[in-house]
Amino acid sequence: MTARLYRADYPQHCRTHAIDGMTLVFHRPSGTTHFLSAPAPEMLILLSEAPMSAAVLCQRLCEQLDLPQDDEALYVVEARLDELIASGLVRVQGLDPH
Amino acid sequence: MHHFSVRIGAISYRVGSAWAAPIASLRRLYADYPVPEDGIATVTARIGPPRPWRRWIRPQVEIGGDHTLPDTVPMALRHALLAAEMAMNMQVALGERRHLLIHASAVERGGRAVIMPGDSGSGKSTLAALLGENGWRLLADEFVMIDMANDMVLPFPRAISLKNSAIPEMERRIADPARFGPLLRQTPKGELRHLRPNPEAIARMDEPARPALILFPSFGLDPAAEGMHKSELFVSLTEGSTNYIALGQTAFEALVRMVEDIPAARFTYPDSETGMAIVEQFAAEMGI
Amino acid sequence: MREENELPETLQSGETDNLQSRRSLLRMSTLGVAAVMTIRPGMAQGAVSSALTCSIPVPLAADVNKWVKPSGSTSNSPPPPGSTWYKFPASPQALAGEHVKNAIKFGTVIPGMDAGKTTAYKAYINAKIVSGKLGFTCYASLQSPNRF
Repeated sequence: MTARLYRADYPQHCRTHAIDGMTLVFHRPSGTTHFLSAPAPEMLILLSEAPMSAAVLCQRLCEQLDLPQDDEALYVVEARLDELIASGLVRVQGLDPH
Repeated sequence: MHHFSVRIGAISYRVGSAWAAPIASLRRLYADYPVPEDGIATVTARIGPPRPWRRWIRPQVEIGGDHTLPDTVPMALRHALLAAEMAMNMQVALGERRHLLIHASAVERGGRAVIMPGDSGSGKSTLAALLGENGWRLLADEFVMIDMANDMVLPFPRAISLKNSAIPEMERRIADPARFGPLLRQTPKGELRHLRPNPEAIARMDEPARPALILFPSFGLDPAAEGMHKSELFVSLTEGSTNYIALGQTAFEALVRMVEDIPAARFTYPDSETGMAIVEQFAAEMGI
Repeated sequence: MREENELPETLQSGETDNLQSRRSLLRMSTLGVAAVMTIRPGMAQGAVSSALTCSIPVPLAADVNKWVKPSGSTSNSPPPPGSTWYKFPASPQALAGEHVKNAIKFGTVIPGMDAGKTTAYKAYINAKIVSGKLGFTCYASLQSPNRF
């Protein structure tokens, strides 16, 4: 089965600042500014470590948050990925060869 | 083409006009201002007829310069002074690349500045004009310029554009008729009259001030005040900045410093006296 | 910047507080609130950045009687008869930002023009429409990644 891989260049190519429980981000490559609330920063950090599919990202995130991994979690991760892609903070890297 | 050059704080203008009358009005309005240093203007603004023949038949005015907005509609020639003022504003709003611009008025006392952002109709301009006649120094009535190297407010004391009820209010308080421009009726913004800031504001236009307080006024409601979250302040300041995007990371960092360091609040006020009293009360709490 | 660092602080502080609410982060009930809010300055910036409405004069007033070459440079002399393909006259109207955007981004031709003229005008814009020139704000807004 092939799945799309996602990657992020966060926080290496960003300026970040914690503010009111959110993360304020200046994304240097695009010159855009965003407010992020959880779990967006956590997702970006995982995606910057290595490109991964939504399923792997969901698994890693659930482990980190000590949360059972289920279809609902995957649905939420995919929805948040769509937001991050729309903002330009996450890019589609290619297809998973496995 | 008729021309007029003037320096207002960090901005040196050269204004061109196809007609003599608006330039004469500008000369009167900016009578006590310095000329650009070394005669070099950094910003060019101009007004002219939209089509060549419009200069002679039913004259209309179009705004131009280094930067243009697509939605600036031609205006009647009798409003040419307003057009010239708008052209001067627009060139700075769109073209300024050294300093961060925030859509706000600002006043100073004891070296410390109160910045008052707000939409048109919030009364920020009138409040600044009033405070400027009551123990404060007017720094700006429309665009607050932040020097991103040291976070200071750079004075930009343009002529204040008074609208509608603010006109008789300031006419009552200011005895010198020479400080007022002509009364412009039935403009796109209603009645409008320009006011030259007082001599102190002009004489000290090269003296920056440290921002100490950010107040968001809104006019027409019962007096009330509330604090603002830093995130909300950041959004409000960027929304009101005409060049935040163009300045990139430097502006981001300057604004982060501002929202972290400067207390902010919003307030509503039913009349000018109350508005001034609320600003004074906030200032007193800050030791300004 | 005071709190500048390379790791978002929310992550560090979040490990200890509010574990329960963090555990609910990946529940569908949280999706009503956006996790990403992009700052979009308003006012003149917004109006200027509207690629749908802004326009770029080609050529600039200084070059209005000249001919535009495919390289974007200008020439004072018209092309020799029968060989109009390598020099193009000034556009009678300023080019719509939207058309220029499509030409730059997607390689389309500007409506009413052929590919040669579009290429020449694009090269001219690229070379001559610099900061301080009429049309630059529009051109700059077309380059902004968020506009595409």
